[in-house]
Amino acid sequence: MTAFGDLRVGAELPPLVRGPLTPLHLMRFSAAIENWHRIHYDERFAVEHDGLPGLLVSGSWKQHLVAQMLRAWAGPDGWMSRLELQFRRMNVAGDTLTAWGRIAELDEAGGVAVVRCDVGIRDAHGTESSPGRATCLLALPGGPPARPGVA
Amino acid sequence: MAGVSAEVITPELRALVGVEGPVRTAPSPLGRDALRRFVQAAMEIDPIHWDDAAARAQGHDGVVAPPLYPLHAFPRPDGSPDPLAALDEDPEWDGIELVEDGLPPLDVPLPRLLNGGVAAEVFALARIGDVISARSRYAELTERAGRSGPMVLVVVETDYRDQTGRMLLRTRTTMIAR
Repeated sequence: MTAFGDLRVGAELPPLVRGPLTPLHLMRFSAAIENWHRIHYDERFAVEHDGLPGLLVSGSWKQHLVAQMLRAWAGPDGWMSRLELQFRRMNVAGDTLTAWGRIAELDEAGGVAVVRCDVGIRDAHGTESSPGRATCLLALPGGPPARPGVA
Repeated sequence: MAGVSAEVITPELRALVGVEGPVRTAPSPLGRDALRRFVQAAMEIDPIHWDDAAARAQGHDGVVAPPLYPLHAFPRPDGSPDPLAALDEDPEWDGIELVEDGLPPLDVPLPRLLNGGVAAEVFALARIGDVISARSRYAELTERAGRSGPMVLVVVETDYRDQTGRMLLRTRTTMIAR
């Protein structure tokens, strides 16, 4: 189906914007997860040793950003059940990242809406780095809250 | 050299599909301080990750971890060696430590290994005090013709559970060797 309650195929989800991401943000994330890969916090190493354009934003952090955007949209009665990203391009310190989503497919299962979305991460120039897909379960008006396991 | 193609996926490699590693268990239960540090570093926006009242209002017992947190729930245990000792041998050490998934190594005769992406399926959110465990398996092995020669796509599937066996998260990580 192409429309379901207030949901429409093609509708954009409210984006989540983060940035500019500084070396301080990147260093803090690496420290929190104890990932010592130097390309995330040692600029001389990243540029001179590995030939990169700058400090790299970790792919796992980009996946967390998209998850945050989806969960904020799905709300407390919704459930983000699936999220798949491909890390196609780099994002570096100084970038401002936008986690975005667009409704691609609508379905109904177990009394809740099953919403499949195209998602990704764009930098300030609009360049896509991490295209992917996600599934969110959303409560229907007057219906039960979405719980994991439906789709 | 039409018709001549090196067999990249040997029967030995093929036999790895379905092979499981050991269960890995987090060295300590999920603590409030570890969760706070992660939640602030990832710049989480949902207060159920730091505010007990907000979490209770949504039916949780108290603060809960973000859905993909189990990926990071396996810090070094007490008494493990200092990873930065590698700098004594090589001052230009890149800081990469191999993910200890316990799976037998993949003997693919291709030089480059890239992370092709991660697909996550979320079942539940970890709670304070949960002891998270993980178990990985080789799920798929496929060969493709890439522009610069053969490519092997390896899918490693990992299940994350809490101490009661409740499923938290399943990830499918695609590694590309070429």
